[in-house]
Amino acid sequence: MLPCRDVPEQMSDYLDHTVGWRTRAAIRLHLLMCGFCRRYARQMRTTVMALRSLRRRAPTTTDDAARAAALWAEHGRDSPAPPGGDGTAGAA
Amino acid sequence: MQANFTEITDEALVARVLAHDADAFTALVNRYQSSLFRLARHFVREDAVAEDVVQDTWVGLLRGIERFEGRSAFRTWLFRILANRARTRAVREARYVPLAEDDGPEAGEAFDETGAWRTPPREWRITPERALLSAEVRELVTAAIAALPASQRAVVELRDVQGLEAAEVCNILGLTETNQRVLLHRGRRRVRTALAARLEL
Repeated sequence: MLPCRDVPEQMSDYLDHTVGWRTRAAIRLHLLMCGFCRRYARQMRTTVMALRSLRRRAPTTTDDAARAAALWAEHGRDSPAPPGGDGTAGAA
Repeated sequence: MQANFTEITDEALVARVLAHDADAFTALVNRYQSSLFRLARHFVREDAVAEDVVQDTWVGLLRGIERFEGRSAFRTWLFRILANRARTRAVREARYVPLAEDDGPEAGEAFDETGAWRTPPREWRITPERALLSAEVRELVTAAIAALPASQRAVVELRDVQGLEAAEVCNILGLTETNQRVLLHRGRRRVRTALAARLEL
């Protein structure tokens, strides 16, 4: 049987489904029989989910708005020429 | 008007920027400014230099936006602009934090000669469901990421926090597939250890 030592070693790949089927089967079997490694696996899954939960969008800051305005003023696409428009929208 | 942009995809915002919509550009800046800054800090040590790199990235975006062909995600494209600029800048200033830099595997969990746990993981005082809602856990995780070696931090940040695919991360950071997996593995393991230190019963 797979030693416990190998479980943390493979856990990240296991959670990402990037281990081969043999290793995957060996880990599953090990987890069925080993409470400590099940606990480790649960904690690692929680860790990854906690990392993902940081993804929440940052609120708009006035800094960002001011930065965007300054960049736009200097480098932005300020010649309003919408494709085919030529300011005659609605004509004909 | 800003609020309306939160549900719009990056690619739709790009289309609006191409149609001279300044608000769409503001929405992109708002969406990515802090991610870009954090990523820049993986390459250069100083906040002020990282700020410059991010600024260069936005200028580069505005100048080159017609060349965005939608073959990769906009995010990958933007992060690559940043990574390229940050590397150039860091090399020029000789402060490049090489991504290959790594401190080897974590000392971490201890096992006996048979490979069994010497110090088995103890139960945490918070359920997984509660952990994800907990401000304390957020703070612990944020601090743990900050304490990672630069290479691990970049990968954990992009893969887990930003949610990029492995191939995108390899592309942005110039890592091999294997390197990327090992760095992610080590980084996550360290974050778990940091959580355990504070959450074990």
